[in-house]
Amino acid sequence: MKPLIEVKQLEKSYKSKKVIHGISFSIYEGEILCLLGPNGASKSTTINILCGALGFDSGEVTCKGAPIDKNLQAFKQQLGVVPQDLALYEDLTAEKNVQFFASLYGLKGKDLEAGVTFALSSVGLTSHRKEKVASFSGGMKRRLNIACALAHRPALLIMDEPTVGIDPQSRNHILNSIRDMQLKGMTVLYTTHYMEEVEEISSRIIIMDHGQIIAEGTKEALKEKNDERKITIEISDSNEISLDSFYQIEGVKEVALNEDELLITSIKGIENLDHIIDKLIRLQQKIQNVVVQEANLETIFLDLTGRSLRD
Amino acid sequence: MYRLFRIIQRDTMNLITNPMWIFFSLMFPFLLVVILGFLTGGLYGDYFTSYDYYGVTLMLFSTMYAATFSANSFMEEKIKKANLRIVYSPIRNWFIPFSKAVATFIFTTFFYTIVAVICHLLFQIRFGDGKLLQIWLLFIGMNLLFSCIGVLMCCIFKSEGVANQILSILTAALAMLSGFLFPIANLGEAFVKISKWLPTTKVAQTIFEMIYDQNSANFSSVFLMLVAFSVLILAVSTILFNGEEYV
Repeated sequence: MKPLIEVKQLEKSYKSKKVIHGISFSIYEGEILCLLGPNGASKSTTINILCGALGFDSGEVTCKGAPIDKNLQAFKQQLGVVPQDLALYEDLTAEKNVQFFASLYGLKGKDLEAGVTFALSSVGLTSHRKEKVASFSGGMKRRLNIACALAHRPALLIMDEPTVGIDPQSRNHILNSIRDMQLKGMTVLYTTHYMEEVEEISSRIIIMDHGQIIAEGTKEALKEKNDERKITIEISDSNEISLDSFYQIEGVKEVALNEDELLITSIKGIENLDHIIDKLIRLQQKIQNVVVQEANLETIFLDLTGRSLRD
Repeated sequence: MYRLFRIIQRDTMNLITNPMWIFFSLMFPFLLVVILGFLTGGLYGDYFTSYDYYGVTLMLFSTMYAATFSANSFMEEKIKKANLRIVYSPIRNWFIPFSKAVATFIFTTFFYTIVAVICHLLFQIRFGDGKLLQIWLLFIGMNLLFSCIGVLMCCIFKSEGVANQILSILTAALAMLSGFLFPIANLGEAFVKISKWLPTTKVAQTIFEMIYDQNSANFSSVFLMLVAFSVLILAVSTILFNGEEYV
C-alpha cells in the first residue's frame, strides 16, 4: 500500500505549552486507521492539523508527496471531515444540508444532485431527505453529519468520534457505512472512545498519549506485543494463602489478592494453569471460579497509558 | 466565486430565517423613533418635528446595531458549529468574515429600509425627497461600516460574548457623543469638540444638511469615508481570521 498522507516530526504548541511532540506516521491508501488516546492526548489537535484547520510549528505533512500547506485548497478538496460536534443547520432539510456543504467543494448541477443522492444513501437517509434536521433523532443527525462529508467523494475521510451518544442500531449502521466506504476505495482516519469499534473496523491502530505516539500497528500485532495474560481465581479462604509460593511456578510474574480473588499475571505461552490449580488444591482451597483473560485492546491501552480510554 | 456566493447566500438565509433577529431589526428602530418622537414632541416645532429629528438619528443609531447582527452571524453558538464545516472545506479563509459582513449588510439594509418607509408613512418623517437616494446611500454606508466592525470584533476577541459587550459600550458611547439620543450641546463644550470629529456625527450632519439646506457638498466625501473605513476594517478582519477561532 502507498501512503496517502505522511506526517513527519510534527510539533504544535499553544502559547508556551507543547501539545504535540514530534510525531510521525503514515496513512495508507484504502485503510481504516484508528487513532486512540485518552482525553488530552492531542488526537483532536492532530486531526485538525490534518484537516488544514490548524497550523503547526514544525515538521511536515504531505499528501501523495506534496506538502499540504503549499496548496491547502487542493488538499482540502480531497478530504471529507466529520467533526465530533454535529455541524448541521437544524432548520434545513437533510438534502439542503448536504447540498450546501457539497457546493463548497465546487459541486453543482447534476454532479451535486448525484453527490447528494450518493451521500444520503450511504448513510441510509434517502427516505428522510426532505425532512428537517430538527425533527431527526440523535442517531439520524450523526448519520447526516457523516453524509455531509461524503457527497464530493473524498479520498480521505476524517472522522472524529462519529458515534458519540447514539443507539447501537445507528452505531452499527455507521460502522457498516464506513466498511462500505473502504470497499469503495476510501481511506478513513477514525478516532473513537469505543474499543469494540476499533476491534471491528480498524486496519491499523495508533495509540497516542500526551502528544506522543506510544504504539502503532495492527490490532493483532499490538496484542502480540503484549506477552501477559491475567488469571483470576475465586477461592474459599484467602487467609490460608501464602502468595510467595506461587512465584515458584514457571511463568508467574505477579500475584495479588483482592478479597477472595487470587489475581495472577502470567507470561503468555507458558501453560501453568494446571500447576496453579494443583497448588491451590494442595492448600485445601475450594476453587469457585477461574477466568483467564488474554490481552485485549483495552488492557493494552491501560498498560501503555496507565489510564482507561474514557478517562 | 460560486463557493463564495453559496456562503453569502447561506449566511443571509441564516439571518432572514431567524424570527428573533427579524423582530429586533424591525421593532428596535421603530419603537425608538415612536417613543422618543412622542416624548419630545413638545420640544420641536411644526416644520421640524421631533419625529424628523429622531427619525434620522435613531435610524442611524439602529444601523450601528448591524455590528451585533454580524457578530451573531459570525460566532453565535447555534451557527458556529455548522460554520466549522465551512472552515474544513476548500475555500479561501477570507470568504468567511467577508460573507458574514455582506450577509449582515444585506439583512440590515432590507429590514431597516422597511422601517424607514413605515416611519415615513406614519409620521411623515422627511428623508430628503429629491436627495432620497443619496441619503439612503449614507444610511446603508453606515450599515456596511458597522457590519464590518462586528466582524472585526469577533476576529479580535474570538468570542461573540466579548465582542457584543465591547460593541454595546462602543455603540452607546458613539450614539451619545454623536447626539443621536439628545443634543450634544447639553454635555458641554468639551464633548461638542469631540463630537465634531466623529464619523457618525459627520454622517448625521450631512444628512440634515441635505434634507433641510439642500446642501450635498459633503455627501461624496462622507460616503467615500464610510466605504473606505469599511473596506479597511474588512481587510484587517480577513487578515486576522485564520479559521482557528472555530476549532
